[in-house]
Amino acid sequence: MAVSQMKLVRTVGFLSKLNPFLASCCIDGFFEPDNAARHISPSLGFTPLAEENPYISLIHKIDELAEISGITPERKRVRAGLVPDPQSETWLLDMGTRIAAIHDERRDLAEQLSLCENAMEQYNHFVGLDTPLESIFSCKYIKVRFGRLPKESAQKLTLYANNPYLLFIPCSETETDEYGAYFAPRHYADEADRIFASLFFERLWIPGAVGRPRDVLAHLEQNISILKEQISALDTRSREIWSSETERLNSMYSQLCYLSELFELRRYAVVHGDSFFYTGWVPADRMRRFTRLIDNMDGVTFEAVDPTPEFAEEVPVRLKNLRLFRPFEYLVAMFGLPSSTDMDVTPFVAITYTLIFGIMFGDVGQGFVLLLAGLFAYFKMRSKMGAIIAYSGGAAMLGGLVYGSFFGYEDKLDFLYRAVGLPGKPFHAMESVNGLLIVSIAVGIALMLCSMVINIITSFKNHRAGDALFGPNGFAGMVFYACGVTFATDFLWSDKNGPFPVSSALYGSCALVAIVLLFLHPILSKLIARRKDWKPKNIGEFLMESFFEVFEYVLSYFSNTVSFLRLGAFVLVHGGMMMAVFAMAKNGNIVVIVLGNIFVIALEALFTSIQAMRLEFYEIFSRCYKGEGRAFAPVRLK
Amino acid sequence: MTKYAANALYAKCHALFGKRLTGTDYSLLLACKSVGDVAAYLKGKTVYADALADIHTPTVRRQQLELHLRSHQFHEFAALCRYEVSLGQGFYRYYVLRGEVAQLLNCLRLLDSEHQDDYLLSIPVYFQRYASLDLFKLAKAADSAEVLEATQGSEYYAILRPFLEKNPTLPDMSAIELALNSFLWKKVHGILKSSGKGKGTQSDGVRYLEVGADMKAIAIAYRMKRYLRSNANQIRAKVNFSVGKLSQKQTDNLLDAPTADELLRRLTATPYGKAFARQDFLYIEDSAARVAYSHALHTFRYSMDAGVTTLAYLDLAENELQNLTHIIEGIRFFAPPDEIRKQLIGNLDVRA
Repeated sequence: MAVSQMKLVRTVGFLSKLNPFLASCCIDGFFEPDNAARHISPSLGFTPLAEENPYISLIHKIDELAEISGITPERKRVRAGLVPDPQSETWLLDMGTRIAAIHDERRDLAEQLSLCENAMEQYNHFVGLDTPLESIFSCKYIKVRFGRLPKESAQKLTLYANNPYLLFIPCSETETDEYGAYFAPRHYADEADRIFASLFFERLWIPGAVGRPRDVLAHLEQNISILKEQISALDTRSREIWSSETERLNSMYSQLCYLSELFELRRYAVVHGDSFFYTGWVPADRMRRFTRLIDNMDGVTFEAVDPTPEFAEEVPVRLKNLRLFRPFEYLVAMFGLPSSTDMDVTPFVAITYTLIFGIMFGDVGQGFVLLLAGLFAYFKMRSKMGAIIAYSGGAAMLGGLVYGSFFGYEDKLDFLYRAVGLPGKPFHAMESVNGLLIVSIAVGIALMLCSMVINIITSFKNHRAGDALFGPNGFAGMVFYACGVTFATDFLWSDKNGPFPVSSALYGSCALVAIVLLFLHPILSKLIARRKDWKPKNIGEFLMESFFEVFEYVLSYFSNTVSFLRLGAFVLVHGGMMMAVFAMAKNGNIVVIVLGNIFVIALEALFTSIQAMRLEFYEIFSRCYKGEGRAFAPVRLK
Repeated sequence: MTKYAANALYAKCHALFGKRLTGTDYSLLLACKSVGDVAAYLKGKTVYADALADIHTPTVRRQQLELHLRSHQFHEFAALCRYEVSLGQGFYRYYVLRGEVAQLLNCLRLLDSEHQDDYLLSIPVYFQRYASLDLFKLAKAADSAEVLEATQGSEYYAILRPFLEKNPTLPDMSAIELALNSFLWKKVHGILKSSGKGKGTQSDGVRYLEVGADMKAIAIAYRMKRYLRSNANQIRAKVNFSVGKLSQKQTDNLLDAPTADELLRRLTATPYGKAFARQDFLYIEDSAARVAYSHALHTFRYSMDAGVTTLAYLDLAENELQNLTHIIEGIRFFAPPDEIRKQLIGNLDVRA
């Protein structure tokens, strides 16, 4: 249960060995390359590799051809130690030419088809005209205009019924317009155009043709049919070409993608003459394997060092936990991974999250349903959350045993308790509200103290002794918090149980000392670190800042502790919801009970998980965990 | 009318108002380069999408677009009135009467002129279904006698007959206008009285309409002073101030002004003084329309009466249509956007 230790590997070799080195040592999922220029002095004369990836253009060519043919190229595994095939490019160009030729021909046919379809659409409107078009267009003294007229305007044409120079022949109509043609003598054409323009007549330019419109339409239909056949034939040819070469193309595509990605790894190297320098991160437990691989290569040497302090924050992190706790790495990663010098809180989260969930959800039957659901999600759907749900379900079952709750029934488990010699269930949640809330607070206090302990350990580990001893989440803060808890306990205790075992003078004086240390925390931290600037520049400002900071610490102790009341609150919510379900079920209507349980499981599981996460991320993490680490991202090429 | 029915109409008016054009819409419309662009914007981004669904935006003409917008407004208002039948019926009737009066005046103005065809082409055919007049017969009328014949059987016949028979070749248009407006005023009074809410709606509605009547009267009086140098008596013969809010004393004071500018100055002593003073004066109709718009907007926002709110909504919708007409015509005739913007009335703040 830790952050896996990382080694910085510095490799030097002949430039000709760079690709073999990358192919054998760097792509199996335990090497993360880092920019080598940052790990070498510029005065040594090493410069970054500035190369153009020669495989990109070929990959784009294949993508283009695939797009034209409407096919998606597949990537498959390639064999190790692959080298580029010099004939690939030639073959690819030839293939491209063949497919492009088909594509160009198809485009021309598609354009012709579009023209025919447009013409057909136009002529369709005038199919009612039973006169050959060539005789209309060849009129010497009559002008004709084809177009459409809104129906409203067509009604106004009745007002021109007495005008001998206007003749409108409607050919077809739609819901809003009438299609037709108007005729006017040549000398009256301008006036006719003006009148029809005022009536919002929209002129349509129909292509010239011979014959009546219906004959033209028949001819166009024939043409369209021929063109569609030709296009279909071309599509078939294109698909045949592709399918006959699919294997080779996919193989080439996979190889090129692999080589391209391998080539991209070269960007991290720096070179000088015919030597390269390459760096990367390798987990310490994988160093032996790495060493074995390098030893098999001539012309390449390496050294593995621990990261220096200036790179401490950039060291990638890989969590290493017991299998039991591993599912909760997902939750921790949601907040942020620990940095390389921080403590991995995954086991702590695993325990506290399930504990919190179990307390809030507490029902054996419903917990069992969650357990099954979690297992299904984990094994069948490969969901990371599945394991967490399963753990939560298990914890809920344990909680349910304490509350004696089984699918909302509070008495169905009594036989179990009697079997082990207990008079009844250990805890009556709905009847001892105060006790429930006190237990919630107690759990909260325990968790807060644990998180402070984690913070102290982490601070010492990171050489921040000042924070560890005098910080609000350090020793002084912990003492003050503990004294505050003692005071509150004393207050509640004394009413009923007489004098408190711990003397008020003792915890009072401890609290006073602790608060003074908190107040002086900035100065004391600097003194411990032997810094010369420990004196505050402005005493007044320092006093004001420290006062408000201490005030904020005290407030946060109180508010974070009170926040844990939600543990008890959600127990009551759960109980209340089940009471409502049973009230609706009246005489034990099983359908209502089942549906109610399903509803409560879904809703309560969601709410409880959210609340548990909130308590983890806010109340606990804010005291002991920053999550500023960077995930280890090794290269993995198949 | 029940309280719930009035609430429904009230809520519907406010819901429709929420869909009106904003300052951003106006700014984007003013940036359009052609009537087609305006049509495309209105079709794609505003509440007029359904109204313009059938038009072909690249080739749409100015008048066609305006006609579609007017048709949309008419049908929207008709639907609004049908939303609450008991109250809405009266307002619907008033709205149709307004449209008929406008058509009659249009026809009479263009009678015996070179532009008679313009009236014919501008008839809103959609309106024919609802009007009591035969608009096509009116459009074919070539003289006053044929106009009278076209209005026979309607309420307008009795109103127009004395004027058209007295002077058939050159009828007194201002007197005709006065008579028709008085007819409308009586009608709307009757509608408000029969709204069933007692004196409340009636007096609120009358108070609302008085402002509109005053604005029309002030505009006509100003024009007569400026261009015809008319005196008070001549103006009183053509303009009816008695239906407005101004008192006799205030009216006399205005009409006794020696010049149009003095009339404007004397407006400060009337209830409309502040409203006129807030604006930059372009021309009298513009200022009057702005005052009327502000009043309509204020009434719409604060009135709790469904009938009055409906009247105010009608005027606000009419104003928007007028704005759109300005924009369409301005773009069609290549007016600079800033000049067009000056004509627009309403909240043109882009944050709206």
